Amino acid sequence: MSDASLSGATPAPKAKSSLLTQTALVRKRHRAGATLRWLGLAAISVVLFFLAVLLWSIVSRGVPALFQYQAQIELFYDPAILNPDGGDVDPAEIGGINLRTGFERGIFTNSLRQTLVEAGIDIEGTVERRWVAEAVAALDAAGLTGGGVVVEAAGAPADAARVFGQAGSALRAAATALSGDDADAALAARDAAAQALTDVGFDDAAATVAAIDAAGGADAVAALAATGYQQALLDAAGALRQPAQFDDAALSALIYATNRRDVRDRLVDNPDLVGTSETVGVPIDIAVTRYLSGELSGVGTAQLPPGFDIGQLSLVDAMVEADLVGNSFRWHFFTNPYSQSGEIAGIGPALMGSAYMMLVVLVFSLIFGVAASIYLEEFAPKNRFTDFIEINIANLAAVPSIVFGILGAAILFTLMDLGFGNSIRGTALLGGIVLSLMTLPTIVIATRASLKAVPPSIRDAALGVGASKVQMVFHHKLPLAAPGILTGTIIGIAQALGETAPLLLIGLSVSTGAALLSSPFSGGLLEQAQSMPTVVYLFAQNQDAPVREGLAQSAILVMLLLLFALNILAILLRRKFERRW
Amino acid sequence: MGAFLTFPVVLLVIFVLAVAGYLLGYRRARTLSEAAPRSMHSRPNQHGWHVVFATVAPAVLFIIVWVFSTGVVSNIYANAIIPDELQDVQVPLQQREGLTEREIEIREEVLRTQFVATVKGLAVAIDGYIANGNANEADIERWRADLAPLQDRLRADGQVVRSSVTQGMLTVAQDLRRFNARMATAGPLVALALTVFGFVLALRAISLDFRARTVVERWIVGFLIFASTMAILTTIAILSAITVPSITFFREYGFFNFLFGMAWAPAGDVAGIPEGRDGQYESVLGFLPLIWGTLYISLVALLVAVPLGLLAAVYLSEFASKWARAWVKPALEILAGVPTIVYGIFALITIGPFLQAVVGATVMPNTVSVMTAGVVMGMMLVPFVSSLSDDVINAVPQAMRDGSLGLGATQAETVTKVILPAALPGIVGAVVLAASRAIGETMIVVLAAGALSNVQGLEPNPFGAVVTVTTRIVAVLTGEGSGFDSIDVLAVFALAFTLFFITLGLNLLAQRMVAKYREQYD
Amino acid sequence: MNDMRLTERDVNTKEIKIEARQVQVFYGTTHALKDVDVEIEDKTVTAFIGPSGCGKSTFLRCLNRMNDTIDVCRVQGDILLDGEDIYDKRVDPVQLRAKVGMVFQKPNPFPKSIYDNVAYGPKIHGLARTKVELDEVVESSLRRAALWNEVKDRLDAPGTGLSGGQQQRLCIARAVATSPEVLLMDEPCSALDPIATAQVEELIDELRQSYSVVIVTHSMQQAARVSQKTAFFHLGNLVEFGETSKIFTNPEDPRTESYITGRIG
Repeated sequence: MSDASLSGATPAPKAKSSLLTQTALVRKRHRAGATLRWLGLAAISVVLFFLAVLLWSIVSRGVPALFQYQAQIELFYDPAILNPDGGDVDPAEIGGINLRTGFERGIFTNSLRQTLVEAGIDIEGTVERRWVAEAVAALDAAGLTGGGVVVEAAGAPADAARVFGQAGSALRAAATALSGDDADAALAARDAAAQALTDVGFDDAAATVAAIDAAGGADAVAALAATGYQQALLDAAGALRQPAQFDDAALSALIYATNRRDVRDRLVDNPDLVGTSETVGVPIDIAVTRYLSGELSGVGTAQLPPGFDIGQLSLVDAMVEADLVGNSFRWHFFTNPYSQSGEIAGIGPALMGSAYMMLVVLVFSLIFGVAASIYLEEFAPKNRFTDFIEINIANLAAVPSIVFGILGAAILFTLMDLGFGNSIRGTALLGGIVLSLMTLPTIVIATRASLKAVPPSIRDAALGVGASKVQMVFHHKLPLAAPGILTGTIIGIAQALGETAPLLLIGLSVSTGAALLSSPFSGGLLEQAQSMPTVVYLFAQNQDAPVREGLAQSAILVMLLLLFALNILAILLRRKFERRW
Repeated sequence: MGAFLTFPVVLLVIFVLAVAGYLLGYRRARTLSEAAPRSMHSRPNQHGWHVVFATVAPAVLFIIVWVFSTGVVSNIYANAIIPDELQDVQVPLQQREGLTEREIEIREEVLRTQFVATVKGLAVAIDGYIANGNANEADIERWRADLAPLQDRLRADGQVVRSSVTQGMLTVAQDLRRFNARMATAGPLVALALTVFGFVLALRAISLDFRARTVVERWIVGFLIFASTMAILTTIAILSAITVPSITFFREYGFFNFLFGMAWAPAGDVAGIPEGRDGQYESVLGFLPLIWGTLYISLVALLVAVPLGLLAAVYLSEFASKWARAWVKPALEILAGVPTIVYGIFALITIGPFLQAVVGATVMPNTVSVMTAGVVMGMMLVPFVSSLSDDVINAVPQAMRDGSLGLGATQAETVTKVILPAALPGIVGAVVLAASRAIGETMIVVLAAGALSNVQGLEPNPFGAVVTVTTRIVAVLTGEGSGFDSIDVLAVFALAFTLFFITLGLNLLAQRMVAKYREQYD
Repeated sequence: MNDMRLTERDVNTKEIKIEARQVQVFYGTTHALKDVDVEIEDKTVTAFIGPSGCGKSTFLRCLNRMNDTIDVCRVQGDILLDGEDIYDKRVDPVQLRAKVGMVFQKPNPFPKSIYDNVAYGPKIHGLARTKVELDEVVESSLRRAALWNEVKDRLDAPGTGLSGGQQQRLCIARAVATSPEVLLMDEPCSALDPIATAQVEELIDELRQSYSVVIVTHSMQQAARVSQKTAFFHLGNLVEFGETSKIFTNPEDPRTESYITGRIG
């Protein structure tokens, strides 16, 4: 379009093009530009989508895990179980009893049984009905209608199981014979199977089997298998055998494992309980909790809580119907110490530990951070030493946190050498010091920025009226820079709050340490501590999937809320005190 | 007296004297100034503060130095008093065969180090035993004749005695205990003397001409300088913490064996003394598989983070409306503020299973893998890359934009042809910084990369599990029984050593690039 | 320097290149420019003078819609380029700016080589199909900016390495390389020393042969030296517009006279 203008010192007049129409080239250029724009938008969408998924995965798992199903049970401290010899019950003796002897299990089982009976629940009957229903459903699915009548007629489910089992076995024998070479045996086996079905009362099915061509070979086997009778009969037999296997252990499993410490501890605390009863809410097993909250449907093996069967679930359903089970907020999550059992695990000491550590970080890094910043910003001469300090600070800000963990471990070993012994391991003081050293660069950077932001006129004015340099800094500059320093400090503390790796290396994740904390709010700067991130780590390594996926997220949720609170505080402070010079 | 005069007591005395000093100093100065108005150099409260500083500072300074130096001094002392001919620190004759003088020397040095550690442990055990009221000094000497009961007694009391006690050990341990006791008495005494000395001197110094303010300010500036050297002290502490055990390890295992070893298979993982004396280790401690895992994950992370972060930064700084900026930037900040352990768990329970469902269990046998960790780490680094790039892009002067737009370039052409090339050094700096972060990142890989303790060779499959440098450090150092005496533990310090210098190098490089870039436009 | 020249210069009535009618500019709530009517002729140097903050630069930036990059800025009224309203919705500022080039107050060469700086415009606008063509455009532009002889041996050197005056001439070459019809110059000499200023002023006079040049300046001498038409802005108003010789010798408005004689400004 403008070739003519390209040569010669004075360009010839170009062909006039209107501004009102876009040339093809410009349109193309805009399209290319739009691509970049869309790419940017796409990148941001991907990141925001990721953030949304992240938050959703935390909230959707963490919030439900904060609620727990509890069974209201009338716990009867039966002296007959506590002391089978019939003598007095000695609390000291109980305190010394090994948990595995199972006397609590006896108490729990009896109490649970009693509670259910009082609520009008027929325990064995409920379980039996459920299994029978299961068996009938299996038969019905294969077209063997009328299974229920057979079960009823048989009297006990176990007897019906035998009948079905025999028919199933006959069918299996027929299948084996049909696949063999012996035509006569195949014929006989087919007829025997048909007969067995007739005996049970499934006449239609018998006819179907009898109609199978005994000489059909592989086709006949396939035809027989296609009926699904064999599988259904054997499944039904299997289901009907279950009620006989239901016992006290299966009953108490719903609540026992988590609560087994309870009875002993209560009795040790209060020996007068022997022979009395009290209504207490005991947590339901965490696997069953998932069934109750609708995560598992109870249909099919994959949908059963691990370790439980549908008979037990039918009891759970009955308890729910009888209002014995309620869903309540897990308040003790905020006070209990960490435990392997998800039902009673909590983050109490971790919250306290984190608070202690943040306190140490606040004091230590604020004092040293501000002092260092003042020196570097106001007093330091421009020389190599100052440069060296600056390089050091910049580097420390980028050193991986795990390296600070190594430093912490080294400090730990040194302190142990100095005679503090093993007691210093995993304490809040040590954790706080390590975190402070990590946070120091952040605070120095923030403080220096806010000191820089104070205009030089203030400095000149103060020096002008005869203040010394120290007075100028402490009376004028520091108060003016305080909001910025505070904001930087809060952000630094928020960072420190989420730091995990260095704390692991100085022994804060040790779960035995958690056991030392008998009371949630015990401990001080010099006691074995936990922190929020390390307790999250412990939760994440728990053996139970529900704990790993549920409670870990609850703990994360609490930690993130704390972080948000700190950051919002920082933002509010910044808004309130922000000053434009 | 020695038993009662401990540092806590001294600290209490210091506190009391400081409070008293302020009040006394203030009153004295005030009396003086009332007698001669306006002729006093410093104000009464400044005199008070001077007394406080003079009382507190020297003593506290001394205590800090003392506490940290006693351990070192006692180590040196223990080393010095070991008789050279002691059997415990000599390589037995039958093992000397086939070893050069130099090798024997190295092994003896290791033996010495181990011996000192054992002796110190023994000294602590005996101290603890006596402190628990089980025996007195004379008893210990009496039990010397037969060592086995002594050992059992100590253990029965809950004291830790690691290896069996020998005569030589006990002699050195007793000597060390006497030395430590003397040190423990001397320290607080000196501190107390310094306190009282400072207190008295400062009170006596109060006069009309005394320039208390100048002195106080000098103290303050002194403290400021001390605080600013914290960064240096921390660096030195880190260096010494990782260097000393690393050097021991390199000398023992061989620097190049470590650096170019293709397998990582610690024999005892954590506990146990290695088979060191005939030159063969059961542990195979090669660096390559670990750094491979680390770099592989970092590469995946950067491939995710750099394009996303850069595009996001470009969009936000050049295209986005004010409204979008106001909402997207805080969202990115949220992402940046989420602790890494949260990302790790997210990778473990959400991303890992998702990836496995997508690519299938044959390609990805475990939910933990390079991709699992890498993708999530990449997402974690996006806000980091984007905020650094944003800074860099904004540092390009407006005049550049105007110049390009004024020539009729579109916004996008301005970005790609002028701003990004101009900002390139800074952006590269940001990417290097991100790489350094990825390499040092711990919690995500601990949870989502794999936790094998044995690795052979380099895993090529991006959906396979790998082991990284940081994973190994955490695995070994969180074990309960860690100490400096096992080759496997020492190896972990060597890992930390290499990690520190790799990240340090990258950081310095990045800082240089960014600084140079900024100078260009300042 | 050669103040006398302006009286000798005859100004032909030429075709009108840019016509501004009732232009209003607002920065947020501030009314920065009020009722500006100007006609800028082709192949003429028009100077905008006036005290700082009078709106002369703002008006200049309206002429190629550089104000679009400022969020709070709003422009009302009509600005016609060859009879077409440049603020029409259908007008693409990119296309407009290719026709109306701009040179800024501070020299702002890109951190690229001298060659790439000049070639930038032709490249994005597709003005050269081959490398040879591009070389020609670069050379002719540098020649027109009177820079060729100084830089021809180091075209690969970074543009930021040149002296201030050279940088500004490089920016002019860069603007010229896109073959604009109008060249806007926003105080192009304010960051230059007197010698460089003289070079640039000479250059502006050369450029008048091919383009319509609009120059903002705070130096009245400069306006008198280089321009044929002068517009005097004061407090957001266009006070007086006319032949340079007339404005400087016989202003109509008392404010113009005060400014020229140094009583306000």
